[in-house]
Amino acid sequence: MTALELAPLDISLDGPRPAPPDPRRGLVRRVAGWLLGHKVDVALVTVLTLVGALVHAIGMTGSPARFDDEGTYTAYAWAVQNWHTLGHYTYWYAHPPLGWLQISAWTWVTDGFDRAPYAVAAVRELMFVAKLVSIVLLYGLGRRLGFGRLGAAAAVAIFALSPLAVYFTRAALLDNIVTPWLLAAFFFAASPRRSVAAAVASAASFAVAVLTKETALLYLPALVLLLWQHTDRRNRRFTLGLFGATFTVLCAGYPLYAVLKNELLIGEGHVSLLWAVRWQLFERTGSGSIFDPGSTAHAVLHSWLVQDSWLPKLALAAVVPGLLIRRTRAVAAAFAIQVAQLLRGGYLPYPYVIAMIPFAALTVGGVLGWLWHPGGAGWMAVRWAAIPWAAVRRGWRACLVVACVAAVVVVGQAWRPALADLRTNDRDAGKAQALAWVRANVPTSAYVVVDDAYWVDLVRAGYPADHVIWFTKLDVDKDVKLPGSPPWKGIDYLLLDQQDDLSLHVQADGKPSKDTLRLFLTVGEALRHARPVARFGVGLDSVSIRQVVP
Amino acid sequence: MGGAARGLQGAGVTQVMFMGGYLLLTVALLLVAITTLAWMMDSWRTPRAVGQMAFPEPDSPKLSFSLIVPARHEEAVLADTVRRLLRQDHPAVQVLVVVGDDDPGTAAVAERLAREDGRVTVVVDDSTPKNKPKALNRALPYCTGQITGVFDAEDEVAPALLRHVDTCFRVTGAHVVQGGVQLMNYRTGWWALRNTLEYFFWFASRLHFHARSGFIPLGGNTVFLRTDLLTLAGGWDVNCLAEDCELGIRLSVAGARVEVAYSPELATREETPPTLRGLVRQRTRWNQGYLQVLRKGEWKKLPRAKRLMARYLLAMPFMQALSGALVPLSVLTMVLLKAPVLFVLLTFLPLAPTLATLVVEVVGLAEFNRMFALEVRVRDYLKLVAGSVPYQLVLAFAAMRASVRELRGEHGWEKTEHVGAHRGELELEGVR
Repeated sequence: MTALELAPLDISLDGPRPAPPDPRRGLVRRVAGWLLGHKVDVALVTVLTLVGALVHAIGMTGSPARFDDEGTYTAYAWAVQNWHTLGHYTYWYAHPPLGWLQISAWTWVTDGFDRAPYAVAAVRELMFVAKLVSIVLLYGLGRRLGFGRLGAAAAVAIFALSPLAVYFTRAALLDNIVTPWLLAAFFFAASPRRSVAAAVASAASFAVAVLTKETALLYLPALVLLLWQHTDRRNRRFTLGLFGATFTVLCAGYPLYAVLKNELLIGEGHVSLLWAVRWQLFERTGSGSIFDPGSTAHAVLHSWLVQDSWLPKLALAAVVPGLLIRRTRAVAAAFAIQVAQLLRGGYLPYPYVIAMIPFAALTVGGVLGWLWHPGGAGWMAVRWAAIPWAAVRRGWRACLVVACVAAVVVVGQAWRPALADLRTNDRDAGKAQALAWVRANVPTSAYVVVDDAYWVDLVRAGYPADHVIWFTKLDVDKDVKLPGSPPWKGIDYLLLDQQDDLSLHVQADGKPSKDTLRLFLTVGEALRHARPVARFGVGLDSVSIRQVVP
Repeated sequence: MGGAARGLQGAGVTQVMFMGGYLLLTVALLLVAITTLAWMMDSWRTPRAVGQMAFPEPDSPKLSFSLIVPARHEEAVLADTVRRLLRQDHPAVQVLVVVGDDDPGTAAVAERLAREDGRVTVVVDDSTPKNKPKALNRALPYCTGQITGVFDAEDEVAPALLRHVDTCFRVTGAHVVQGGVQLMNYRTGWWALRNTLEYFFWFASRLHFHARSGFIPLGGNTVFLRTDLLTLAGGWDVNCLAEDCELGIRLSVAGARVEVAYSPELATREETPPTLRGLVRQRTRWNQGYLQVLRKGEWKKLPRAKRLMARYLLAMPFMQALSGALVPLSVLTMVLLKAPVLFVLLTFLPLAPTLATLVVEVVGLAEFNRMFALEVRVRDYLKLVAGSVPYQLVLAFAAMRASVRELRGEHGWEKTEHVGAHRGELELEGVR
């Protein structure tokens, strides 16, 4: 309040005016200023990203071995790119299509299918990109949530180095495309400026995540909690209102597409969105309880713990304190929702764990950061600054350092062999040999029933698309036609891996069981009249080629 | 998506061209909708921005004010307005009432006011035909204050306003201060609610954005300018139907610093036009004024980025008219044209920001309700939502009308009449 009177008039209506500063130079300076202001964080996140990139990339086409689900999204994306349709079979709203639209954009722009060693590997490149983006976002989110450098770096280290994370984030799955979008949604929701624009960005990212895979919707309560924590009374109405509007309107594009195709409601002679939703929610066979040793759910859980039991253990230990501490509450809630869903039973897909990993890492990192610098834990708030003796503080932190070093040594010991295996073991070798065998020994005129992981490779090798048939489409898709009568007689070869055999309920001796014949009529009959001609790989990664002899 | 590309190959050349043009229009509409939405809620973009909405805290007054009140057939409301202005808690206020030489009724009220209080001066406007900018220019030579302010004859001005404006000029070093104007009679009709909310978003938010970006169409009243600057600029443009907007553009070109402040208790209270017809006329006049400013081309002297903004803002009535014309066309195409699904999906895009705007309007009504301590009911929210499309059509109609009038060269001044609906019945009695 210095101006006492009106200053003399300092403008004229015709005089030259000072030229405005060049906005581009201003931008460069702003970016440079920001980087300088955050140089420790930038250096730290660069190193972490580099380490994460190396651990992820070295051996990523060899492990895991390609499998059916990966092949399906690969084939969808291939169909988008080459046929301009939403899938290599009739699109039936199993998932919203945005995930493989992104994949096809990647394979189209980078010419992926022509370059990668095999089709699924081209899609795995996108998973690598998603991983790098996720690492940066994970660190940024940790910092925005107030975890400190220690907590944020710990979260990233867990995410980048846990063998469980490395194994699953390499796989060409929609869940891995969801992760960066989901983290972006959380990152924007934690905007320190508390701006409406950030809320809109969060909603848009979250909508992309949900349209990539609908299961991301489970995280909505955790995201809204975070947004609520990070909005200000003065503009909260606008922030939350536009978050809701943006998210709803963008997601509405999916049912709108169905309406325009006249495929929203269940009807005779066409697929429909509502039927697909009903099937996903109510009719899909459950996987049983995770506590029942004979259940599929138990087996799936076991397959995760074989990779790494430390991450789940640490995360479960951190989840309760995580929920109590304010700054970790939202990410701990995100993790807790997934755990509750796991306990509830229902259908448990093999890659379900993917979406849990980043939030497990954040919860552990956040709790660690809190232990280093406590405060703001609601009812159990410790007035850290109020503790008078600096010696107590130093002692506490010394103990923490010792505990951390011990944890790194113990966990590192457990992770080292698993990481070495992921780096060097070519688990995909058998799958590759099987493909080579088919190309060498099966004429292109033959009808081959395949695991989807081979579909694109075979079609690209010159086998007509209607002769290469994904095994799950037999007896289901009316467009799939076989020359024989009954249809199984038209099949010449079957190319199925051990996982496919299990899901088809094939007996250990390779013969179809009663269930196989009851549930999968054509495949079952074909298997009954088939003889094994080649087998490659070991264990669950093995794949067998059978010739049908009518 | 299914077969979109194949569908395109199968379509004839005319259809492809039609679809291309239609998509271009869609993108334009999308841009308009998004920018309108962003500017509409500019003041709430961050908590910090919300804090910048209001006037700074006043200190002791230092400046002197001349307030021009053009009055034409306003004998019903003028006395009350001027008496209120004289009740300002600011020590240096001069009020200039401009009356026409053909309007003895209003002139008599003005003369009586001048006799009652020495701070009132009556200025007679003998020009023909008469309009607001001419009246303002007549009064300008008589302004003795350092700051000149403009009020309309029906305005209800807060008594503490000038003290706040005084401080605002000195603290910010601004050349122009634009205060808030707020319609209050939101229950008069279905469109009154929307009209009221339009003012709220315009003065509480959007003008702040324009001031920040250095290109601002000023408001018609509660606007304060340095008298020296105003004299230098030669006053208002007498040939323009939106003299306030025109002056704002000219001062923007000169690089004037404009400060916008909106505090609910200091907003000048006004009334909506009494009828829907009146609203259409008022809106036609404003839109035509914008088109006149666009044609005058003063804005072309702005630096490039602002020039783009000027063109966009001033052409807005045209775009509104266009979108109005597009509504029946899109209904027609939905029935007649068998287009690929992807194309149809894209044409739905502008609907997204439009729906988001509706949400923001609902939130805005809640905010308006809170800031003015009103008793807005669920019914009002429903009216707001239900009135969205009809109101857009009314605006589009006014925009089309303005475009046609401007093309035909009709520049007549359709004045808005005032009945004092924003004041209580009792107060009106008191005036008589």
